[in-house]
This record gives sequence, structure tokens and C-alpha cells, in this order.
Amino acid sequence: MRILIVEDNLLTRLMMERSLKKWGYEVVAVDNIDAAIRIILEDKIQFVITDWIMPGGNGIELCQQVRALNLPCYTYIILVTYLDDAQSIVQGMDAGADDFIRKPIQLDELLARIRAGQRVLDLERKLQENNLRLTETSDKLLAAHELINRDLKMAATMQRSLLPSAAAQGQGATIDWLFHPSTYLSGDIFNFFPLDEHHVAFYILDVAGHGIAAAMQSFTLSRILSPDTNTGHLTYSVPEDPGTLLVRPAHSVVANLNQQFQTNTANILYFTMVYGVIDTLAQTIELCQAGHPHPLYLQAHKPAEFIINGGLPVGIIGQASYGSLLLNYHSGDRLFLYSDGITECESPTGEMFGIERLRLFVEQTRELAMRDVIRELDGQIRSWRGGDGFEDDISMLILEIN
Amino acid sequence: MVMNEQKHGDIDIVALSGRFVMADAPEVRERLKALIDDGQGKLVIDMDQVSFIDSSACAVLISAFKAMQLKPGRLVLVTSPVVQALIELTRLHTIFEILPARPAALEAFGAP
Repeated sequence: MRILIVEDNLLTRLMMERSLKKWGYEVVAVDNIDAAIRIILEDKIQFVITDWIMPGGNGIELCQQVRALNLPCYTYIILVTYLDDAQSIVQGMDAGADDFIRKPIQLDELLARIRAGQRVLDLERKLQENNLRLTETSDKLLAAHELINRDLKMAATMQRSLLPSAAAQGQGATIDWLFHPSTYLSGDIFNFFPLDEHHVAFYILDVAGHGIAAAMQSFTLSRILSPDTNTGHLTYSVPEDPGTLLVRPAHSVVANLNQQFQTNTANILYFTMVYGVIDTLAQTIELCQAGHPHPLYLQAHKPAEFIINGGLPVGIIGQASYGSLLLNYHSGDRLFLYSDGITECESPTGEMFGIERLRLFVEQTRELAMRDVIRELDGQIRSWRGGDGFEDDISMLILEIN
Repeated sequence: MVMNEQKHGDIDIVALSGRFVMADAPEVRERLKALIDDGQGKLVIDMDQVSFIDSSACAVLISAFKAMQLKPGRLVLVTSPVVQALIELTRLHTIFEILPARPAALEAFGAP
């Protein structure tokens, strides 16, 4: 360690210089504070022993000037003094001195005080090294976080592109929807598309959990349950008449998915869903539910009712059976499909939005256009939540029979 | 969420309390798996004190149910009203064995 001695008395200076060198320290010695400041700045010496009273500026001034420099590394200063009254000590400490030693200097005391100062500087250095490491780590984390966020945003855009366009018209029905992932990505997904000239398919599904794994599963399912990919899940043909596509019954679509997506130790993400087919010739809606919140059906002049039937969520039991239910529709009827993110949405006091509140909402907004129903629901669910982000994915798909 | 394990004879009991959600799912799943692997095929999951449960937590219960079927062994759930509501909504009550309180669950295994 290097030590700077600031002492105008030649004899004392030489004595201290010799002792310090004998103890193994590198020593620089000067006789005024201007030279001292220059050396502290140029040689970056962190340990200073300075006399209190010197011509051309005393030790107190040196302390004040060093502290005012606000150097990146701490400078440890010992003041050498004849004065040992409490008032002088206070004055010295206020000026920024760390320790004191009285004249005439006792060499063993000087060494002890230097070692004490060295411990402080060692601690300070370690602290600085740790801080540096922390800053580096935090910079790396921030960069990684930024990268992940950018990735997620891109994936979220992709996910939205899978959704049907709002106010889409199929034969027989018009839709609108609400979709809020709890983070960037959602485990919820839904769609609405024609199967042939007089059949329209629709579904909503909710993969257990939320976040990336759930979203990946919902991406896969949305590709399978799509009119663009002919996987045979929704339509099929028989060998006798290969040119004609037949529409699969809703319960058989769900049962097939259940066979294909059984959960196991590696993948525990089951999903709940409602799959339906509108037949515009027969004027029916065929519905199959698999553990999903019960759809709400609103007919003119009637209270909104829950459509209750169906089996287990998809992927739980291979042998599970699923049934379909048939609704005879009339023009203007509305069917509301939604995820439990709405009904289980908690207010700041922990109260759930609940199915009855949703049912009443559906009835009370029966005169509104679908666009306005969605806007109203969005407002209500947000104000119910009370400003915080949603804990689970939120989705609702409304179908209105033309 | 707090997870507390006990043994009653050869029956393993896992008591959960508080909010059982996605963030807790991996830890609970690991513990249940270990208990099922090492245990005697008798497991009670006591959720009497669970105040909220989400679908990720349900997935953990299903995963335990399946592991117990393979062992083979028996899994009994004790539910709070909130847990029971979600289990019924998703129709999982048709596969789980659910009993109203811990004494009844232990009795189901023939414990004194």
C-alpha cells in the first residue's frame, strides 16, 4: 500500500518516512497541501497522514478539499495533531478526517492506526468489486429481459393473427370477441369458420395455466382446429365417396382430441373447451363441452340460460366419453362462450366476478349491438379487477344468429 | 401457499393452505410425485385450507391422480368449498375420490 505523508517539519517527516518504509509501505512525502492534492489526484493514493498545522493551508483544509473532490475511491485520512481537546476532534471529523494521532508520535500506535485504516480501505475495495459485479450482472439481466420481452411481443402478435376477425360473418352467424392474455401470451384461443355450404364451426378453449407453455399448446390446437389444415379432425370422407367431405359430430371431434392429447408425466397441460357446429339448413347449433365454463344462451324475451352438459376436460382420461347437445336457434339468438378468466376474475377485495354477474350482464345488454356488448364487458371486467393486470387469460366469443 | 407433510401410519398426508396457483404448481407436483413413488399407495391431499385454486393447480392434482393409478394406489382429496367449486365446474369430481374432512379420508384407508 502507498501512503502519502503531508508534514512541514523535516525531522518528523523523515522519521515517519523511514518507519513506514521499514514496515513495508511505499511512501510519498510532501510539505504542503497543494502538492498533496496534486499527488492524490495523479498517483491515486488512497491513504494520507497529514499534519494539522502547516503554513499555506492546514490539515483540516486538506480533508475538506479531498472530500470535495468526491473521488471514485475512498481516501482514508489520519490527522496528526498536538490538540487533543474534544472540540478539535469534532472539527477534524466534520472536515472529513477518519482518525487522529497525537504528537509526539508513538511508532507502535502509528502502525496500529495505519492497519486499522487499511482494513477500512480493504473493505471498501471489496464492496466496490461486489458492486461492480452486481452492476454487470444486472446489466446482463436487463439485456436478457429485453430480448425475452421482444420475443414474447412478437409471439403475441402471431397469436392474435390466429384469431378470427371481429365482426366476422359466416353463413348464419356474426361474431365478436374479447381477448386479454394475462401476460403477453394466452392459453386461451377461439375461432369461427365455415366447414361447408351450410355448416359453420366455432370453438373456445383454455389450456390449463397460462404463459408460454399453455400458449404453445393453444397454438398447436388452433392449427389442428382450423379450416386451412385438412387434418381430418373436423371433416372426413368415406371411401365410397371420397369427393364429399362430411362434418364430424361435435362430440366426436372432442373425443378424438382427447385421445390425441392425453396428459402424461412430461405434459400435464389438459385443456377445457367448447366445440360447436351451426347447421344453417336444420337451424341447429350442436355443442360439445369438455370441462369448460358453461356457455350462456340468450334468446329473445327469455332470461339468459347456461347450457349445461358435457364431459371432462380434454386429456385427463383416455376412456372419457363426450356427448353433444342440440339447440334449435332463432334469428337474433346469442351464444356467449368465455373462459374462467372472466368468472374467476378477482376484485381488489378478492371477490370473484362470478357466473351470475355475467348472466345478468348478458341479459342487461341484450338490446346493445355486439360491438357495444364487448366494449361494455371490457369496461366492467377491468373496473372489477381495479386497475391491476389480469391474473388469468380473459376471453369471450359471442355468436349472434343472423 | 404453505405445504405441510405428515404421515399417519402408512398413509401420506399433504396439507395445503392459502392460494394454490401456477407459481406453486412445480414444487407441489415434485413433492407429490416423490411421495407417490416412495409411499405405500395411500395419499391424502388435504385442501381444506386452500382459499383459491387455478387450473394449473388442478393439473397437478390430475397428474398425481394419474401417477397413483399407475402405481397402483389410491388418492383421496379433502376440499374446501372454493376447491370443490372448481373441481365440479371442470367435472373432475367424476374422477377424484373426494371426502369432506381429513378424519373421513383416513377412515377410508381403514386407519383407526
